[in-house]
Amino acid sequence: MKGSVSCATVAKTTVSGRVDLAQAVTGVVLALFTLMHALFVGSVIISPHIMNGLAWILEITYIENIVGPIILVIMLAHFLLAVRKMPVRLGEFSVFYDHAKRMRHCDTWLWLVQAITAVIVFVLVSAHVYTIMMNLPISAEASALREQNGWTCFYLTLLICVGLHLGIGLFRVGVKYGFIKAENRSVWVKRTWLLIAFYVALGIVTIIRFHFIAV
Amino acid sequence: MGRKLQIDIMRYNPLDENSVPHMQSFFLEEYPSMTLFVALTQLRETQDPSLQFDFCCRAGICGSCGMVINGRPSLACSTQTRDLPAHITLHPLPIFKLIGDLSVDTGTWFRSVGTRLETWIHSNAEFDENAIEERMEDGLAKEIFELDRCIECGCCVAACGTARMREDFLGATSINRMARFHLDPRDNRTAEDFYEVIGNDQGVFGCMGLLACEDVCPKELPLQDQLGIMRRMLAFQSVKNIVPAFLRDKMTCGHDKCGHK
Ligand code: SF4
Ligand code: SF4
Ligand code: FES
Repeated sequence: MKGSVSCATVAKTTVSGRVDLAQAVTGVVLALFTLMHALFVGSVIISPHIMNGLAWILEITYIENIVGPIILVIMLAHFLLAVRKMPVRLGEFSVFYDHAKRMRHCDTWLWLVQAITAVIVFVLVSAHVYTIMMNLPISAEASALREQNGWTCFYLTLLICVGLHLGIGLFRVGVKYGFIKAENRSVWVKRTWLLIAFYVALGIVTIIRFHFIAV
Repeated sequence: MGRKLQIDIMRYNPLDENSVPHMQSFFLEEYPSMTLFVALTQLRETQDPSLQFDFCCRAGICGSCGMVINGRPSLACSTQTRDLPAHITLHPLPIFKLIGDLSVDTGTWFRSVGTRLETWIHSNAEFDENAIEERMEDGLAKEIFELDRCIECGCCVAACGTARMREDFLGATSINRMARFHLDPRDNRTAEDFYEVIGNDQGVFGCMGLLACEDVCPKELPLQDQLGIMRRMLAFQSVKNIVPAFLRDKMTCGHDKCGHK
């Protein structure tokens, strides 16, 4: 019959799908890592000894030496995969910006937030991981020293950007892959903001705590 | 006594060399249950006969009156002025070819996408004109009809940030269209076939999940859910050959339909 497609056709390329999945998977992995990381560093709130104990475990198992670089690589991969969606040309950016302004549509704005925080996080995390790797082993005192020596602004910026990027990103993956449906969207919007608030609040308390550690 | 409405309309006639895009303000007295269709018709009849805009069914069925109303794409015929502030701004839908003022050509866009994606039933079955039409489960028929309700007004495309940035993005309406054929048991296309046409950054993987399409669609089509279903299916299609068999069985989409293919 004319106009029919043979069932024997094979997909010519699987690249697009794999790239998209890889972007989602690397993003989710980074988000999970970041949340664990927040809990780990946040343990200092209860006591620096707990943080140092956990750090010691990470050290003797070589996890800190291995995980740092791996996370950096995953982040680089995630960045490179996602950059194809970014408004790379100025024209695209301004079209999108005008569009968001006119539409007054929250999710559209959030995408701009996502694109901007992506760049900030990428730069700041690189600097963060670099200094950590140069100053191993990890300890509450080393972190406290950094916070007290003028890195607080750096970490506050990083904290907020990561919180937003992670929360919005997870929400977006949920939507894109159909886990967040129209019927439960409003619930997940709330959960997303709660997660971001929790992450940022935990981070702020952690930073404050570092200021009260004698070094 | 109705409100006095100020309606700012973008005026531009691409056929007239001397015409430059600009906003023109019109004033009009509102009366009960006035729609934008009524308002615009009145403006044209009483104030400016050169004003261009499209209407046909006036009942939200034909999809010809899509325009940007106070920043958001919507159908002018189904928008009542009382739901809007007294100051109304109207722009033509972006992305589509401008005919003049508020009138755009959505037809060419939809036709070219339809041809490219071959949005019709692909069947290998020999057509027998004497045969009784094949039966379809009521539930499935309703599911298909739900997606078939798209009136091709173009609002979802105009509202989509991705489509604004990337000219070749197919938009939610097209993916919804393909989802409709994916549901239809009479269509013999497989996941591979669908992957070939929309398994790319112009199709499902280009969507950034901004949900503007979902939020503006005047017919309230389940665009968000369909985008999710199609993306998941096609993403799975791309890794089918590299995931271990036991996982593959777990991950196959569970849709009755896929079994039959
Ligand atoms: S999906 Fe909705 S908004 Fe998009 S063209 Fe169809 S009816 Fe219009
Ligand atoms: S969800 Fe996808 S198709 Fe819909 S507006 Fe957003 S990017 Fe466009
Ligand atoms: S005139 Fe037909 S949808 Fe508005």
